[in-house]
Amino acid sequence: MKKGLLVFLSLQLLFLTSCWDSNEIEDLGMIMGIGLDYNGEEKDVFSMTNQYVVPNNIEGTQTGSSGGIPYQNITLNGSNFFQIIRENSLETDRPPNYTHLKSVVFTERLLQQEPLKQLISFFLRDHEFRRTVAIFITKESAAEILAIEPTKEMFPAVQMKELTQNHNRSLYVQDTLKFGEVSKKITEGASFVIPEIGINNGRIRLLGAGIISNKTEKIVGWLTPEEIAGLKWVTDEVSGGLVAIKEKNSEEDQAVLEIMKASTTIEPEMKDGQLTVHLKVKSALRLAEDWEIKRDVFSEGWEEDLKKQGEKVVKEEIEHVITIAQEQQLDYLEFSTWTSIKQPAYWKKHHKEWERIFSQLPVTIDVDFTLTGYGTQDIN
Amino acid sequence: MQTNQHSLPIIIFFISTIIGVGIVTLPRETATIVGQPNMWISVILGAFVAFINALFIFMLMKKYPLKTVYDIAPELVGKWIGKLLNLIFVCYTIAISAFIIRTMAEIVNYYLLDKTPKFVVLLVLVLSCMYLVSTGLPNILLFLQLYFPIILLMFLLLTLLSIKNIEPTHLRPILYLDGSDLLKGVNSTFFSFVGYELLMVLSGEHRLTRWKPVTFILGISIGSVCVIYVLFFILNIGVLSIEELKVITFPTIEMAKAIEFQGFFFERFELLFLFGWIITIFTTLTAYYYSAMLGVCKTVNCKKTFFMNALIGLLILMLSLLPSGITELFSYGTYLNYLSYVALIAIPLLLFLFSFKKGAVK
Repeated sequence: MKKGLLVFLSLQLLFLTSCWDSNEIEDLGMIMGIGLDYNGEEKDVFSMTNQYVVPNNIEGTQTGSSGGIPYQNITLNGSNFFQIIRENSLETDRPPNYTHLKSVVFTERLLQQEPLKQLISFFLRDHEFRRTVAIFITKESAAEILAIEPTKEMFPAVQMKELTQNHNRSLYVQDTLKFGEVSKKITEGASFVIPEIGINNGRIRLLGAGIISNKTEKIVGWLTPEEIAGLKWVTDEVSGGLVAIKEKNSEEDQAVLEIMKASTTIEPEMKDGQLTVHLKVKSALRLAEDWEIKRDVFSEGWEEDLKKQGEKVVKEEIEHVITIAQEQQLDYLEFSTWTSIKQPAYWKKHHKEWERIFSQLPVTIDVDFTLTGYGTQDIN
Repeated sequence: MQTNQHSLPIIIFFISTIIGVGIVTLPRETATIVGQPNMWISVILGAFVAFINALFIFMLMKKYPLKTVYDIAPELVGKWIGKLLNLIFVCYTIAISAFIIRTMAEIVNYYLLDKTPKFVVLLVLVLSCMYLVSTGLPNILLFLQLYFPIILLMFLLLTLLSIKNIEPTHLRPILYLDGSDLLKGVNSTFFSFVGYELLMVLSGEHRLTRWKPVTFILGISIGSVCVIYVLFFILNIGVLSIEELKVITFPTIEMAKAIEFQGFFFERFELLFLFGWIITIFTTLTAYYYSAMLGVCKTVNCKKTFFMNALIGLLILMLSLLPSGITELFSYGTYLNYLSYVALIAIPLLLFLFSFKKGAVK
């Protein structure tokens, strides 16, 4: 009898467990993207756009009625982010949930006014935000960006993050910049660039990048897509793309090389107490598009000329971006990281005056291309 | 007694006891002290110190087969001082239990159950532990063996999923040493290896007297924990970087949060990891709880253990609810370290010295 009671009681443990903190998933307002704007008004300085998922409008779900927009943007103003988030509850019955947040867009004006460190501190402190959220900057208003109808994805916020996944397709696309990486850069006291997003003919488009200074943690300049290419060559992020050569400087004779493989090593060296950086770029390429009629790819040595010109193009790109960075005295080229790794003793002594050293740092660039092929057919 | 049959449960006992909150908080503590990418060397040094200390404790216990520290203390230094020493050791085990479960409660409160009161989280843990401890040491060893594979699996899974997030530049330079900083780090890494001192309690039911098997057991236990710690240090530094480690409260969980596979569905692995990690906290708590209860019972010679069991549970629960917040909790950690010095080094040393004085008699 007593035993039976015990068994009965312990079985209750299985059946009577309740969930203290349960949140029904259909009652949550999943947020895919956040846009942050600057109003400049006295009272409500910031404006925050939350992109809610509207589950009923997602095509393919059972209850889904196709045709509706699967997201809804709610823009509200306030003087701090937490307040704005809680203010959402005055307009929507579903509490916002940020665990599946994909992208955050900052507008340029906001980063001119407030240091990035303070802008993201709330997002890093709260446990709901993941370290993998992608960050973007825009010259438009962030609310507008989030309102653009995406091309292939269901949500603009997802589309943006997915666009940066094309970094192995084009030299102009930077890899996703995540919250975690931004936080790392800030704690390390390094300058860095944020991918820029913009609008092109009513579509979301990746543009260049905004430069964040390590001194003010505000935006201090912009890089064009071409300069992004140079930056990617320096920081060893190239994993695909193309090198276009305009032979003899005329449009008709151009050739396009596809990058198959690329790697860059940054070698800081000490010579008589003077630090010099050697940049060694190695890349394997393939002839992808050829406008030159006379070229005979079956005769030996056809690639020599292309190789030299390709190397020159890349070398110029790299030189250009290094000049810009040195003029700004902002090391977003990761030279400091490699100096601390390769020359730790020097770094320990001089890291406080790195800006000055960096701006006068002699850099030698050595680009080495190998042309591996010309494709399946050569009709020329 | 055959060594092979009996060493595995004891090895598992030690490993489960040693791995606790350290795996989640140690990277930050060490990063603030050492602050260089090769700080995992401190962990290896810490393990070495712990191993030496463990061997020293064994040298003491070897002289008194099938007796615990609670038995030999009154014999060696006199009844009342011995009882005082016992109580200090019990205080240490209770304090360490309270500290680890409070840290766990903070983490559960942050990441899992933000509305459930900490008291309830702690109560559930302590009650179930109370039940397990009341069934005796053989059952505890069985329980630990049951959950050990789950713990290992969870660590392995986290390692495999995190590897692709590692950035090798964060781990370099490896060979540029600043020895003094690394040595300072040992002071904190050493404490993440506490748990082996329960050898002084285990020796009551297991005949641990021969050098070879015991060195083997201690070496394997501390060694494998050291491997796990070094692995997690490398993951933490590689994924988060040193400067970042200094400012993140629970680095390992943040590292688990950085796991994401492109697409939609595989996210929030940290929740899964936390379930496995809570078990490691539970196993650590069990070992210390058992030691505390045994200590009190041996000291006051109580026949019925239930009352003592409940009393210790209550003490641990109350003590763990004492700190008002996480900063205060971490500052208690420093005091706990002093208490560890007493329990791990001072008490064994004192007893060891006295054992020479009376050594011939026993």
